[in-house]
Amino acid sequence: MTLFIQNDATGAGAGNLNPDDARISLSIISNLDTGLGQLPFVGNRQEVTYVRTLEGIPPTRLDDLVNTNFNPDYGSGPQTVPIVLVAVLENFTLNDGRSILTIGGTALPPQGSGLAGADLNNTNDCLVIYDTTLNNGNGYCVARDGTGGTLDLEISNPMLLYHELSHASRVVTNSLLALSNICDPSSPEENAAIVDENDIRTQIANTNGETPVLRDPGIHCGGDCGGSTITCCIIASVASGSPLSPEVAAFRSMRDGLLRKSEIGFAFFQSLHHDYYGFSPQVSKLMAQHPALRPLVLEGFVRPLVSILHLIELYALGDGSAKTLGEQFIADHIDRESGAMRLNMICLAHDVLNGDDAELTDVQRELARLLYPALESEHLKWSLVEPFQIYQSALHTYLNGCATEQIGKQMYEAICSWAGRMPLDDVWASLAISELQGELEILENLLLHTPETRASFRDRLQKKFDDVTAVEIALRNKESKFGGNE
Amino acid sequence: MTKSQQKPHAEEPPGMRGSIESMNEIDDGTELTIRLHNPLDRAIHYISDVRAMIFDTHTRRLRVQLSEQGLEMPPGGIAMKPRFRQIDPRSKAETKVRLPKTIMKLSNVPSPTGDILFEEHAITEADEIVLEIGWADTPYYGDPRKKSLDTSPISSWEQQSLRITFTPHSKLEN
Repeated sequence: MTLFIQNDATGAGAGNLNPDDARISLSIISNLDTGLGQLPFVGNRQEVTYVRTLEGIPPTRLDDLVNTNFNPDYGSGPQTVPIVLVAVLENFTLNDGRSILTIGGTALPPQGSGLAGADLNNTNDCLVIYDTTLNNGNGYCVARDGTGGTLDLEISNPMLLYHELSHASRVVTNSLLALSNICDPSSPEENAAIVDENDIRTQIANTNGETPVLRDPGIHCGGDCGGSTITCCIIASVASGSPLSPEVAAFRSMRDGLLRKSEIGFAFFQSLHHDYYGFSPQVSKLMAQHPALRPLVLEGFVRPLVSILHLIELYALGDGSAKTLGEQFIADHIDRESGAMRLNMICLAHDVLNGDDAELTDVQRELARLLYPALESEHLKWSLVEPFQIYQSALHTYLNGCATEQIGKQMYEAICSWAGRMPLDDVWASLAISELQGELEILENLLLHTPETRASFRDRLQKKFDDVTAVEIALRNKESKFGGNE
Repeated sequence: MTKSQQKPHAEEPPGMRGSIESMNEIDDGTELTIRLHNPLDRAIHYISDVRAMIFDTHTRRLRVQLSEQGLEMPPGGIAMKPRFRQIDPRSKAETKVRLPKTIMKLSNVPSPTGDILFEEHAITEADEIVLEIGWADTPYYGDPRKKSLDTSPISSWEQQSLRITFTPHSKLEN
């Protein structure tokens, strides 16, 4: 027999565990099956028994766990591995000090098994430890499926326990999947446990006559319920009034979905964040003190930037042609009147950005002073100021009545030229040849569309890193691939 | 209220400064009031929730980590993101850290009978409290690169760790 409930914390005194919660949660997992029971205490443990009378995925899985003798071979011969449920309170820590509140629960493989987490366990059991206080009353909120990562779905104790039992089922069969330290995307092991967790969510919802709301298996991150842990783009968040606004979502999606996945992109954003967060909290504070600034920042900076970055995304990932860019720009600006209003706001924003203070109010002048670093930073200039100017120019051309083709051609040429001026971070010098070639390939496919832009970019790269062998070889390989003449 | 003394750490790196102003007993534990100072021209972002607590029975030193340094991530229910707070440039701020009355941990000592052993330590047993706060001058963003799978993105984010060593006043009196 395999499944036990730990009743008392040996060495720590009574009242430090909550075994009643384990009994209740198991009962809910069994769908209140009357076949679930416990034997009398033996020492500090109570063995769980189960003569299943109900169908359903969670009862069946529980049946397997209770009524199978697990004898995995972790490399030194088969060994019996019982599963012990340890229902803890908010003051519990693992033996490296990690608070249970940082993970909600865990399934620790037996010592010596070599599996992830085994060195936190000094017993031969698989320990299923879970917090019964729901994050000390703050709740655990996880990603609701279909929302792209909104952490607003609560997890209850039976769900948490069932999630950990899913891990335990693979620990005791020596089939634990790969784990990683990042929560989005979740590792294969966490993905599998969340898929299982959704079975108990479905069962509980069905029992209550509700529509099941599922957790996103691709995201293992969580946060306190009622408190947003989403961070992105502070100025856009304050200007648009919410960290969940479409503008912020657009920035976040571009940043995490596309740009930061490569080494070069990641390093670029490290520098960009450094420069951006040198002044943006002060801008946000100023907006909070003077709400009248928000429309200027939103309409004059944030929305134009979202628009141009979408067009750049189309340039990078779509067919990227001048025709497509022109057509998309027109489609985004069907209402000429609101386009004209936006241009007025952009012109004011432009004055602020350039510190052209003839007509500015005191608060706008203060904003100008805070934004000044954006003009000094190579990364901010390239990623925010220059795209902003491309957009302003295109909007001006459009409102002057120019044809779609002309707007598209103007934007295409401006974006090509802009792309070739991408700042070169030191990370280029730290990459191996194969990595450099991969990064160049990505960059050329996404941004450097014309032979002239590619040549100019490689030239800059060569000049900046003329004493770095890997850069030299990667560029030489590129040249030989294209015969030095694209 | 127990007024306490803060010992600055000799090798404290430049950046965020802090001291523990008081340590008060509350209903369900102990509350530390921490004064933080950002002398930089940039905002500082720091972890504001307790990620780990380690009580050393030999030295009776309690280490409270608002930091992910050195922590393993076992298979678990939820990867709870830390709570982050921010201090404006050249500003002072106050934050509170709540600790439970006792810490209950899995023992490092193996049980001869094969049973699970636990240890319990009262916060008031500590002769010294060392508070470590991970911070950076940019906010935390997850690292979506594939090669980052093996390293904790939060501990990689932490540029520095502010270390405040603190002796509870009641212990000094004793």
